[in-house]
Amino acid sequence: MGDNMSELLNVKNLKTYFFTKYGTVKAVDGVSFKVDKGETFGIVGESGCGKSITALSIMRLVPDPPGRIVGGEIVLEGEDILKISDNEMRKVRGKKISMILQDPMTSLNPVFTIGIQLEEAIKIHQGLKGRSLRERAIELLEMVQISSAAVRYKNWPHQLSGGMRQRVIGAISVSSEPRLLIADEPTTALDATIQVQFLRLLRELQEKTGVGLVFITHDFGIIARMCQRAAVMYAGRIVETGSVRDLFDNPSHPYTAALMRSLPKLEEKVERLASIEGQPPPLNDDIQGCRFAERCTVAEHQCRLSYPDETEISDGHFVSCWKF
Amino acid sequence: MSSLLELKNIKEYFPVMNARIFQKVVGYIRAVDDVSFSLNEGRTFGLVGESGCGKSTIAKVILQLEKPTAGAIYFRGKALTGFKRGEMADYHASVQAVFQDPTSSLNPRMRVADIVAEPLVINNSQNNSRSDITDMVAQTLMQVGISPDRSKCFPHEFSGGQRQRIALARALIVGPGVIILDESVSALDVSIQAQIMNLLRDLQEELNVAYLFIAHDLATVKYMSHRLGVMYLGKLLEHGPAGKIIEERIHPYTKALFSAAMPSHPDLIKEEVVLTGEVPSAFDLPEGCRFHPRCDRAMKICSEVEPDLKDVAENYQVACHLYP
Repeated sequence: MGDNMSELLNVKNLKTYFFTKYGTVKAVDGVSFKVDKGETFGIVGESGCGKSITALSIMRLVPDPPGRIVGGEIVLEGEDILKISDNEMRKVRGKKISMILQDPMTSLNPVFTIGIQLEEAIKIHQGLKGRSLRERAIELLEMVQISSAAVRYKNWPHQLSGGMRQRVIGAISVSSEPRLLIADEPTTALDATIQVQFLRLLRELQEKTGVGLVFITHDFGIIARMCQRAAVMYAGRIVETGSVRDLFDNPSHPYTAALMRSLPKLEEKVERLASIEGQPPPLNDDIQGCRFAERCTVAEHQCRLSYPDETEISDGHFVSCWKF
Repeated sequence: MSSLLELKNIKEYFPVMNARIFQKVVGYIRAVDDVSFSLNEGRTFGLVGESGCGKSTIAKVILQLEKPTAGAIYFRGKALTGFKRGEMADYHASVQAVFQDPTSSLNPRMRVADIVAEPLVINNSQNNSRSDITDMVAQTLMQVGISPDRSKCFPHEFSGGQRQRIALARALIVGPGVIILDESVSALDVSIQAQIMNLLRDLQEELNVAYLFIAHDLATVKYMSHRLGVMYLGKLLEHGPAGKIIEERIHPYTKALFSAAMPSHPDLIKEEVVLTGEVPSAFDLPEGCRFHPRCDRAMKICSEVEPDLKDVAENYQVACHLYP
């Protein structure tokens, strides 16, 4: 897991709840993980499992009300960013942590040229002005492989294709040379061949800048392709964390194992996919035991009574299951 | 095995008008350009390609939601254009569809029982009585794994996977020969996706229904399909038995598309073929082969003459100047 020197982000027992008239929704309920410098850490899970809320919590952008971070620590380079003031957080956000979101249509402002939007970010965080500002913007566009960047600089978002828009967002998010980049399903809206282009670009940006990447996705293939370590989330909690190889070769939590068996594979012939019966529990229920117990084929009485602690089954491979 | 539905040289051009008062056609978007294939009883034809390649337009043409510009559709050996009114009504009952987003394809103000019964009420060729229809609704709901007790519920009371089952029940109730599945499993989570795909395969075995399975995810298409067509900008570039195409990937575009698929295991990561550039517009297609501007093996002839689909093996065709 690396020592403190290489540690970039340490999320400890993060809890983000939403207080609604239907009760308290525990969207993120005790999530802990670490990300090293320059590492790509994946968070994978199905919709509603809390992976995006985890990302928003790290950015401190959870809509409040109804949401609130009710517990835990988010330590970025030795500093707990849950303890700093909103003003200080504004300087962290965009400068130290950046984010790329799923939909490139809505994360750019349609009434400003991409050049202006790119310059805005550089101006705020680096204080450049005039000619050097513009040069830096064009340089960034070139870095994300936008051809004829000096011309594209004057384009409006609607003049770009989806893949190009996502690359512009990539340029904006690395413009202030952040330490941590959170990518929340950045390629889900892109076509397969464009997705490959963008993922390769992200890897190149990471090599160049040494940024730590938290990659949030529902696609195990992207985890296999992009990440060194990953966590599997289910119903607001991490059920298994480990190296990507651990997760694929030795998926130990029954949920991870079942998910792996329910994936259609291109490379090998699968006679019949194993499906997981039922569906995730509503998060406003007060569940004492393991949240997966209802759908688990090996659940026992104990599983429904209390939540299992995290167990390290091999070096760096953690599982929360009563089996261990 | 008899061919149930046959598409012959289907073209679908959408006229583009200029923006003056007296509108003049200035060109055409060639959404589907000379596509032929057939659906066989109890079999699945998979159609893959990136967004905008004309997959869904083909679905609309088959459903008669768009009139093809040229070409003919044959149903049980008879051309659709010669159908009388009664025959056309039968055709509409025999060809059903399930779309991507069950939330928007189910009327939120109708109860599930009414949603599922509606096709039968409209197309009551057997003169079923009310109680017959109620029985059939209950039976069909059971078939797709929804408890008939819940038939008085509204769509919002169900989860995404269950809603997709309801949409499927609505398609099944009229006893169709063909069901068009246009990205029907794309919006679902992995574990639910496996449930629905297994259900679809079981139903096919039981009812001998033919599927046109449209998707952009290659692994799901592989799991579902017997035959496969790869589309690019309105044209079929490769067309043959699914297993063979996945193994051989003859056309350079097919190669690129499959290599862009994410690996199912970290050991299976291979160097992707990264296509340069973006998909050209269907309004302004390149001369010759429509893939040549992005093709790494393009020759002189590729920019001059458009290649036809040619046999490379039995029942296996590729449109590329490199082959056969």
